[in-house]
Parts: sequence; C-alpha cells; structure tokens
Amino acid sequence: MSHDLILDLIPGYALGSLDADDLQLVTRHLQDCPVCRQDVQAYQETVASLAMAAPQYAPSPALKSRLMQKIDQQGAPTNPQQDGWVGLFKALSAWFSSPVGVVAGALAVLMVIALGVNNLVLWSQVRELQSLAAQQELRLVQLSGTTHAPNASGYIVFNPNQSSGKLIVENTPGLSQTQQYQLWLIKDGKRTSGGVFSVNESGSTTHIIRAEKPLDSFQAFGITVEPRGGSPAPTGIKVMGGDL
Amino acid sequence: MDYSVLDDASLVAMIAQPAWGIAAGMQQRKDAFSALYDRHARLVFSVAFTTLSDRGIAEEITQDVFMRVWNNAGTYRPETAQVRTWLVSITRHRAIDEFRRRGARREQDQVDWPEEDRNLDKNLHQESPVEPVEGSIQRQVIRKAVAGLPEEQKQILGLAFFNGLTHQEIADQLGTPLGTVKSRIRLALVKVRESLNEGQV
Repeated sequence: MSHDLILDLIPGYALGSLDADDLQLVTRHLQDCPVCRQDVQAYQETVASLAMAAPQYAPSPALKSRLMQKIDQQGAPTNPQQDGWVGLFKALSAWFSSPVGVVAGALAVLMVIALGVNNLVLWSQVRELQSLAAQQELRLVQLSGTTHAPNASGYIVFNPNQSSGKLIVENTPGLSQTQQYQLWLIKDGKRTSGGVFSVNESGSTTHIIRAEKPLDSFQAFGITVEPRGGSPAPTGIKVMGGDL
Repeated sequence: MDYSVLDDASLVAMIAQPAWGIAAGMQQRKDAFSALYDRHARLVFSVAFTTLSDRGIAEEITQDVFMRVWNNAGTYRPETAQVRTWLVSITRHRAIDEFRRRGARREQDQVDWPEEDRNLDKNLHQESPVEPVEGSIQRQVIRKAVAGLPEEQKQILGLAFFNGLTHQEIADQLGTPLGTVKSRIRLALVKVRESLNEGQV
C-alpha cells in the first residue's frame, strides 16, 4: 500500500469528507502507523480552526441560564471519571513538558481549587504546591477508609526523594475537642509520626507532612484517632490507610 | 477565583472531578464549566448556526454539546487534541447529523464559504468580552488563510466542513469530477495548515 496515497487522504480523513472506500483504507492503515496518526492529529487541529473562520454569532444569554439550570437539575456528571485522581494526574502529565513556570502555576491553582479551598491561609501554600509540581513526577498515594470510617478517603502527594509532602482528606468524621487525627509513616513495622490534624465541618482538610526521611522510603501510611496533640505511637482506632 | 486565567485543559479537568476522593464540589465544577462556556459558546453556536441557519436549533445543539462536555469531561485527554478541537468535532457531528436529518440541500442557500454579512442583525455579532487576545489573533490568521484560497477550494471546503458532504456528494452536487474534488480539498487543507503554522507566534 502506497504511503503517499494514504498521506494524500489524511486531510480529507481529518475533515470527515472521505467516501466509504477511502475511509476504510485509511482507518486500517492508521491502526499500524503512528506517524500517520500524528499527521491526522495535526490536521484535526487545522480542521477545528476552520470553525473560527466562519462569522461568529453569539447565542442568547437565556441559553446559558437554561444550560446551568439543566446542570442543576441533573447534578453531577453522569459519566464520572473512572480512574479517579490518579487518572486526572496522568491526564495532566502532558503538561509537564511545558515551560515549568506556567505548568506549576496552573497545576497549583488547579489543586487549590480542587481542594475546595477559598481561604487566604491555604493560598499561602500555593507556593509549596508550585515547587512540588515543578519538579515533575509527583507521587501519589491513595488512602482508603477502614470499617471505622468507610467513607473517608484521601491521598498523599509528594515528590520522590523529598521529606515533605501534602496530605489531603475528605469525608472524614469530625472529632471531639479532646481528640485529633494523627498520620503515621510506616516502615518495617516501625511507625513515625507525620503530624496531627483536624478536619473542617465538611470533613476535609489538608496537612503538610514534614518527615525526617524521604516519604518514598516508607512502605505505608496510616491515620489513627489520638488525644489532642498526638501520641508517641498509635493508640487509637485506625481510620484510613494506604500502601506505597 | 478567576477561572478565566486557567487554560482549557485545566477547566475540563476541573469539571471531570474523580468519582471518589477529593471533589471540588458542585460549585467549583459549575464555575469551571461556566468559564469554559463563556470562552467557547460562540464558536460552538456559530458552527451550528452556519450549518443549519436556524437560531433555535443552533441553540439546542449548543446546549447539547455543552451537556456532553459536562458529562464526558472525564474522557478528554489533552495529549490527543486541544479542547477547542474536541468541542468543534462534537458540534460538527451534531449539526451535520441534524442537517442530514432535515434532508436540506444547500443549492438554494449559500454554497460558498460564509462571509460576514453586514446586513445581519447586529445582535448576532456581539464581540465577546471574555475572548482572550490570542483568540482574536488566531481568528485573523485563519480568516486570512481561508480568504486567500482559490474560490473553488473555498467553496468545496465550506460544503465539507459545514454540511459534512463527502467527496462523491460534493462532486454530484457541483458536477465536478471526483478526482478534482479530492485534490481541491487536499490542497485547501494543506494550504490552511501551512498558513496557520506560519501565523504562529
């Protein structure tokens, strides 16, 4: 099969104007040819740009109201992302080849928004997020709730080799005034404290972890309920855990 | 939070919150979605309106497209295509489906690439206040590229892009040989792609 023939058909393929026989030819070829697939992607961008060459009309403002109403009625997306936060990070990984400043800024802002955070105190942590993101290859450890807190979830994000990281939790039950949650960094049966924290009325919070060793040197993370201020070793029930 | 500073892929990622774990909450997702709409609604609507010449249907399609974005944001992968490309693609599919359903023939309508018609209702041409500067520079580049095409190429490109006609259908409609149609489409797209690459800053 002549590659030149396929190359000639690629623009039409991207436009969607190929007749059935040509379409079949190209579709089959693309299965085995990454070079041509790249060409198709490039032409798809070209085709999409054509939309801007047409006269631009604005829809009525009422349309937006109807749309937002429909969203309110329907609620959350009917097809939620399947692979969760890790999938989101993978999807965003394409950005890491961009100029670092831009990526780090966007990603940091994205994370701060995603945490449902609007207050100024946590905005000050954006700079920490930025330096984390700037170093590429953030590691992510998912935490799941135990039977004591089945809806609780969270994750720890950190840069490999770094001894600092960020813990984020959600749907975690509030505690009494005399108690706090404590994070444990676990290795070879030994548990080191990763700090204490409390959750807000929504059951979420973020907590900066400062360890003595790089976080990826541990094998697992766990969260228990402890007296306010924490304990030297875990004494209370375990609410969440995750392995590296 | 000023969502207009986030790029398209960030906004889509915001809408596509994971099913478990940290959720931005409906409000943040809606705000990101609202910002995406403000940025791209005109483009989506214009494609639909140019294809169907009916404001009501074009608005329905626009709503449909953005509902698909809301529900399927989790399937979007930035490494595959730009968000705008994704949007235009969904819009064209819907608009062309509708166009075919109505069995509309474009002979009595414009068959040429649609130009700005100064006589149209001014309300239709509102300049969006939220359009970023690169958007309008890009628009100038692409308009110049299309305007610079030979008439026959422009015409055929318009039929394929807006009405979704295949090469054979265009050949039948215009009475032009199939080979000529195929070659004109290819030449037009190659030329436009080159112009866009040149026009890039």
